[in-house]
Amino acid sequence: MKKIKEFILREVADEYILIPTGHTTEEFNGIITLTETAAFIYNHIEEVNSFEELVQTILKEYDIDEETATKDAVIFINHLLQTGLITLSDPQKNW
Amino acid sequence: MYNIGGLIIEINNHDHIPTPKNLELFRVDADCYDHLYDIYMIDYIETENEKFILNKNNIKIFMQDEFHKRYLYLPGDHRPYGLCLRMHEGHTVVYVQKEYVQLFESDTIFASILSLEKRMYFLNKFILHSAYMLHNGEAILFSAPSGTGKSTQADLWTKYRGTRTINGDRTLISKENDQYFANGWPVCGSSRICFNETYPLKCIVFLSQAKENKIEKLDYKTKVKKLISELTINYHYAPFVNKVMDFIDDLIIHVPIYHLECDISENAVICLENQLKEDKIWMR
Repeated sequence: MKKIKEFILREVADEYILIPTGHTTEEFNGIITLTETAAFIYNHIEEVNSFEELVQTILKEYDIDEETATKDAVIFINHLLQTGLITLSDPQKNW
Repeated sequence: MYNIGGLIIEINNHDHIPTPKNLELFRVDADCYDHLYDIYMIDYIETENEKFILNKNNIKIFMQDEFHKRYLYLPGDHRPYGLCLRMHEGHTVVYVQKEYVQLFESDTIFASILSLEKRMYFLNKFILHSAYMLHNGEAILFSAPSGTGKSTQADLWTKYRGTRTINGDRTLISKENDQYFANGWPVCGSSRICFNETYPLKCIVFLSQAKENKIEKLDYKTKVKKLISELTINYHYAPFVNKVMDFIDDLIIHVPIYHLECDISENAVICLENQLKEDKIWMR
């Protein structure tokens, strides 16, 4: 996956916010609030080469079971795709 | 020359375009300036077809060499009213399109061609959308989206407690020697209340309209979100966003911030007054 919008990620107490910057301000107003896990996924999404690798990266960071990590990742990645914040970097691998 | 938020600016208004009255409140005698503006009136501003680094309804920017070139537009208009060229650090040339020249009596429009928020960013000072009220030698800022009643609330304090409003719509917030200050700002929107005075910042009060008066101390997250929404932020420029977020983090630690649900009666004044007394910041 690759990020196609410009956002600044900032930690605010126990949550994170995405603030649009650059060209992204032409289409996004306001801020997006993320949970800690969502911020972690957003930060690492370009570093991993598959969904499975992303889940394993989450499991290394957080003390949660694989089912929960998979479910959280699916929901958040679908949200990022639907809102156009990310796109597939390798369509053949669906990633 | 003018002293705006500690920045000395010189404006060479070559073609005598109208300037807002508020600006004169900031005039000073100084030997040298930090930033020079050369302003010219021209018949027509040519727009570029080059790729803009920002393309919004009210502003289009592209890089020329290493400096920004900014076209400014009124909402819904396709012709720019102004073009600002940064010639080098400390010097901006502004072209104003002739047919829009009367607009420049408006402080909001005039300030837009000076990019004052950007100049203040370099000094780590930021503009809060707020009515700035002087109370016991300190500043109380009422902040809220337009139309909520910021200056109305300040007027209630004037009526019932004899306070004075320094600016009805904008405040420049700065930090000097670990103390936050509210500073006068040459833009005051439709409030028409504008003075060039600086006082220590007592507190910030976010307002919302309600039938009953109620005040609360905000949690950290809500403070951040409310400040983001009412500070002037050049979102397109990432270093500006990062710097203002650092500023917000520090401001929250040092300045009490409340949320006041209020009507337009004396009870709204009493509600905030009681909270300030309880928090021992009524008189300091």
